[in-house]
Amino acid sequence: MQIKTEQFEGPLDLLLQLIEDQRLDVSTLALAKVTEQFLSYVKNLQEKNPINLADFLVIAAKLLVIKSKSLLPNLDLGTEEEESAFDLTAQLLRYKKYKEAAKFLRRLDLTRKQSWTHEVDFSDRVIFVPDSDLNVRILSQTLRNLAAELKNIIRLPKEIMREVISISDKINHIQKLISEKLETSLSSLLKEAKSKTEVIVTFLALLELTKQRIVALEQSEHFGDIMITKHGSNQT
Amino acid sequence: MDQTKLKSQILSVLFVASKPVSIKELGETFEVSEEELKKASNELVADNQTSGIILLATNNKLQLASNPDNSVLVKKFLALELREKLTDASLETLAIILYRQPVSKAEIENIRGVNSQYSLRHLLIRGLIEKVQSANDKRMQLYKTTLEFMQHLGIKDMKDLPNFEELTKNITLPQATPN
Repeated sequence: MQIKTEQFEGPLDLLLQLIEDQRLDVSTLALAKVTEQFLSYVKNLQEKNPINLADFLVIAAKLLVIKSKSLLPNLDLGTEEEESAFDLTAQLLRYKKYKEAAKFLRRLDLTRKQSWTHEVDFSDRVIFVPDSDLNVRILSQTLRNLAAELKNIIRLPKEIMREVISISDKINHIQKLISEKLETSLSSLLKEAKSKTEVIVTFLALLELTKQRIVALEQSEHFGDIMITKHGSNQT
Repeated sequence: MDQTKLKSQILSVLFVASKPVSIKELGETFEVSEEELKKASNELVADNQTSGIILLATNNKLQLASNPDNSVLVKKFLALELREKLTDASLETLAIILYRQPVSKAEIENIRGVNSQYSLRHLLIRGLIEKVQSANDKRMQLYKTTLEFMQHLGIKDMKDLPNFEELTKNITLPQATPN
């Protein structure tokens, strides 16, 4: 099932929508069933709009506890975790009720009836009493001083932004290179590096690719060049 | 003191104050108890429902305001633009504050399941809610609705708002239906 990419107000809003779309009754079984969809939405959120990610993860964790429990009934996760997860139904119902109250306020907001108060305050009227020494010459001099100050603010020192390369960019680059050339070496990768940061990023990208078993590294002797090949290609 | 006179005096003071005045502040001016002032203000709220000027009262604060029933005409006179609508997130947050006030940020976020910092700030800036210190714990801030909230939504008397249980009595979670 596709999850609509619409914006949800929060994890409870999303969960409510998932359950209502499926016309499932709210049982632990139903919650376990929508866990996958919930997680895929969270994954999408991670890329697009990670602002409230932590809040979504809290609910995702509860769903996983429920799902684990439904698959392995004998699993003992500790009373506190289980209680907090199974409390989710009550939490959903309470949220839905406040959503209804919000709808009521929306109707009031849309009727656009409104009242106004008057802003005049008889008790503290503002009057301007200038200093007796103040004259036109002083005022114009002050303004000139102020303009001079502003000049300094406008002439702020400038700094050139350096291009930063991210690990994921580097990973993509190395993957592309490997699929084109079949083999490359660390020294040739580092030759392209324009800064110390890029050397580090290249190295981290290689470690990540090795961990994910996308590339294989081989070094024939100590301090020798490291050869990079596609994982599994030298075994065949 | 004669009740009619007391009410008349309260109205005069509120007219010149032209800002929210608390029952406590009135108590310092009037030589009557806060209980009597509350009683008089409740009567004023009820008396003025159809008047051009109504008395708004919430959380022991009072303010005179134009009657929301005349909203269209007043807007025309002031040549006002249509105001910005409240977002879903703000409305959810506002609903929780309205029915649970005074309420803490933690409680609001617990109910919504999501960080509500932005909504709260937005509502504060618009003056629809205010922060007060918790009576039990001075370090804790609690949120309440304001007189501006009543003005904004055209609520003449907080008693006109539906009771939360009544409003949400038909809300249930989905039940199993045979496919």
